[in-house]
Amino acid sequence: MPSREHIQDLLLHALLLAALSALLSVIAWAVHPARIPWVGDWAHHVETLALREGIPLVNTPEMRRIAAAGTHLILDARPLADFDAGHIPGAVPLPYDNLDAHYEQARLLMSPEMPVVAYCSGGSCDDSFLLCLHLRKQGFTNVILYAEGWTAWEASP
Amino acid sequence: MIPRVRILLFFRVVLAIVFLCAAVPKIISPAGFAEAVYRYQLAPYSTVNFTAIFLPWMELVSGLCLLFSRKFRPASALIILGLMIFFTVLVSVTLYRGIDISCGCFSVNPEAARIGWKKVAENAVLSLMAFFVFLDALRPAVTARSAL
Repeated sequence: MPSREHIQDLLLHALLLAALSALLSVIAWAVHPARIPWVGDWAHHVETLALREGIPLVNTPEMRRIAAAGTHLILDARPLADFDAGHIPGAVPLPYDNLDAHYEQARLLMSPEMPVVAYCSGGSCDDSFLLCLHLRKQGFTNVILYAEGWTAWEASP
Repeated sequence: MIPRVRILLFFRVVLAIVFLCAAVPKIISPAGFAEAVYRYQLAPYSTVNFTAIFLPWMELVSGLCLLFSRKFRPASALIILGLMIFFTVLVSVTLYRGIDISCGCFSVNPEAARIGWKKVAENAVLSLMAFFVFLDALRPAVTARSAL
């Protein structure tokens, strides 16, 4: 059984290692050619990535209009179990975590110019963004992202 | 029969190499690692970048001390044990939540291999190794007969 002194030494040494790591991380941060800020704006990260890639975004009121008008093919990028539990009316499941198994079936519903809007859970979920990138690589030119996703859809009146 | 000291030395070297190999790509690409931390959807947004900047150095310092410093070996073993338990729980919880992401363990590439229960098993084995190394490091220096 380690003595009390032994445990104190252990904790002191662990604190010293943490302090050394902190010091090194600060020095590395200061000289790093591609340094990042200590606090980043991650709340809108998916939207930022989408805009950088030139993917248009829609908000919840616009998404409601799209769903009501039936002008777009709506793709749900969440896992199938989440889709089954609830989804935007008219949406087609295309779970990004199992894309290979569902892609061919969903592709039958699409043509290259057809407007497509993809969504997932919202928040920090980026499956719909990744699905948009995938669809564009496959030649679909009119791909839109509903980044606020299912959470915002469910919460909105 | 392989002596206990050699087994523990093997565990120590494996853990140190794992931590050093994990730390380097994250230190080289903090933005990539921040993205990996973010994709776990667990850390508050305000702590994502801080974690991405600090954690790799913690891994590097602990890995080096576990390998080369007799004085700091118990503390580095304790930190590595804590981190391994944390990583094991983190990956398990992420899988349970149905989040399909790359690990961000040894590569910050989001297209790298996805996490799975195999990763949980690997982490559990490493946690067990870290536990034995920590117990050994706690023993008084005279009786420990720890290699090197």
